[in-house]
Amino acid sequence: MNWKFRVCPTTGLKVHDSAETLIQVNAVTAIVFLLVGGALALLMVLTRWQVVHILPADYFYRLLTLHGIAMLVAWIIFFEMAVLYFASAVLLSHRLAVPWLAWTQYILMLVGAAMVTVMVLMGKADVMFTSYIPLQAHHMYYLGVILFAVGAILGCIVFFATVTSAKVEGAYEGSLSLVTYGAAAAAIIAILTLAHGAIALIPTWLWALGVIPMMDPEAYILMFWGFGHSSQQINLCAMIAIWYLLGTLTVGSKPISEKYCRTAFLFYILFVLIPSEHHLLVDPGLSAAHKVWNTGYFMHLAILASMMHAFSVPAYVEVALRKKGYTKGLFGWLKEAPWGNPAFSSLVFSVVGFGFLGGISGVVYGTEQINIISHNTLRIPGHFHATVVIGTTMAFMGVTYYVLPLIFKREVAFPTAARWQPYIYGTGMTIFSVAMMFVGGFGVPRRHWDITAADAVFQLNYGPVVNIGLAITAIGGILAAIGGLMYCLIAVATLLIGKKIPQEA
Amino acid sequence: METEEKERRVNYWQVFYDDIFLLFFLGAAIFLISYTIWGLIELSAAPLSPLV
Amino acid sequence: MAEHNDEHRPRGTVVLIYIFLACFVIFTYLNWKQLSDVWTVG
Ligand code: HEM
Ligand SMILES: [Cu+2]
Repeated sequence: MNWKFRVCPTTGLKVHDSAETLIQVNAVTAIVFLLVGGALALLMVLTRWQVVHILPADYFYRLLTLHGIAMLVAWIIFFEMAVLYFASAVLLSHRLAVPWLAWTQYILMLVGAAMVTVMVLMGKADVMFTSYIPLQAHHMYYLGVILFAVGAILGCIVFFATVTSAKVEGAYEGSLSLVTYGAAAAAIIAILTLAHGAIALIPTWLWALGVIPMMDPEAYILMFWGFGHSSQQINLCAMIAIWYLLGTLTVGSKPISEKYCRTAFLFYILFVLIPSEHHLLVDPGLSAAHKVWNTGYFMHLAILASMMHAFSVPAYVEVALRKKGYTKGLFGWLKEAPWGNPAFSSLVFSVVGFGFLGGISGVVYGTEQINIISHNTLRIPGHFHATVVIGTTMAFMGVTYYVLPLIFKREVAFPTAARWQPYIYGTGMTIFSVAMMFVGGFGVPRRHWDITAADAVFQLNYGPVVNIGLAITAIGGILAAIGGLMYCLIAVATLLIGKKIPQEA
Repeated sequence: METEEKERRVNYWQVFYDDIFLLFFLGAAIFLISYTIWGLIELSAAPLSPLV
Repeated sequence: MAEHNDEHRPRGTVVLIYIFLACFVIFTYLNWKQLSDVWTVG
């Protein structure tokens, strides 16, 4: 058979035509959702800033629902599909197996995401992205989520098919490369995750249709978080695979011990899913034994794995820079690092923000005892904007600066703006996350339109510190929204007017 | 002789690490038993609310 | 061999790890302190 390949002039990788197109459509769709989610974020953060408070209550919850979906579900998972195809077909210089299945993935996810978006905007699904029972959305909403999830499973299957056919046809020998190994871990976790999603949402869909008379809220929560939290671990694996990739691309770092990094991925596959339990720590239906077991020792092996990655990446970068001759003192290498390369600065924000802000807060808030005072407060969105935004989103943004020339064959437009973008986004999000965690420490609830309870018979006053904290949160959020907008504009401008890079067939 | 022995040991581990389908199976087993199935058993044993 | 060159050892990262550990300890302490303040024993 005859497949069309081209050879990338910068990396020498062979790029299969269909792989390239699929990476492009998934990545572009992801960025569109990021743009939508960012616009909503701006409105929401200006509502939680009590002094400004621009949205009415119903719109606040509606947009909050859509923000969660557009960001956490659509932006992240569309981008991950691009990463999976990249890590299999492009990095192995192999053809993408079953392109039609990959197209089915894309179309299902697109239709699903569109259905969900329309339902939420019509006001038929003000249920937050968690859609806890007994809240009920229109049945088309659940169907949209299910179609999206099925599409994502197909993407994982295409990934495994590509890796397997590369092995069978001898495109690689022995072990997979580390980045592909990480993507494989992500795909394994994805399948388990999406299976839980199906068990949670298919009955709920039937319930919304009236086929099933009653749902058990607690069983729903158990299954939902088997899906909702575990899907964060897909992001985690994808992010870490990108960390290694960015280390290599930006400073030429090489993993010193492959075994060490693979062991960390192995811990993920085995132990990273059970911490879904931290969402259930205050729920009455489960025993303390179940809670403590699942947030206990085994979970800490997964945390250990995160620390292994989060410290090996800077160590590899340090070694690579020292080998280039930047050996002065303890931190001379840091001074000489390529700070003007947006992929590198994104990498640094991602590693530091994920480890220091997201990692530490997550481990502490996810402890059974501490969860009693942190559950459903603003501490939690503070924590996960550090992981999923500074960590995952910034890693994805950073790798975009390489995907644009490699896959879209264009030079990044507005290079000066691109240099600034990670700093603006990263600083804004850091301020936002820290301020939110701080305010949450005073017991300010998350998902709350008006913490002063203005229309209620009682009045609540959290005091001036909280008001200032919410203002700082908003300022950080605005800064991040600007940085996010810059990223979207740079990406779109590159596609439309970026200088074409000449290619050989 | 000694190095040969070492190489063989390393290779066993390598086979384990590289077998992504085996890892998939193990990951599924741990998660399903310790989180999902145990959780569902506990919930099904919980008494129904008198309000229902 | 280059790998054994002392100049190339990631000493800065080791310092980073200790800073991380310190942050971890402080953050854990603060949260347990707050918990003990709002949820007193006896
Ligand atoms: C410009 C950047 C962003 C800003 C300013 C922002 C702001 C916010 C705000 C104000 C909330 C509501 C908190 C509450 O009242 O409970 C929120 C919730 C949330 N955000 Fe973001 N966000 C940003 C980016 C992101 C990204 C990139 C993601 C995911 C990748 C994300 C995921 C979420 C999720 C999952 C929720 C929770 C929704 C819920 O409680 O149902 N955000 N965000
Ligand atoms: Cu979680």
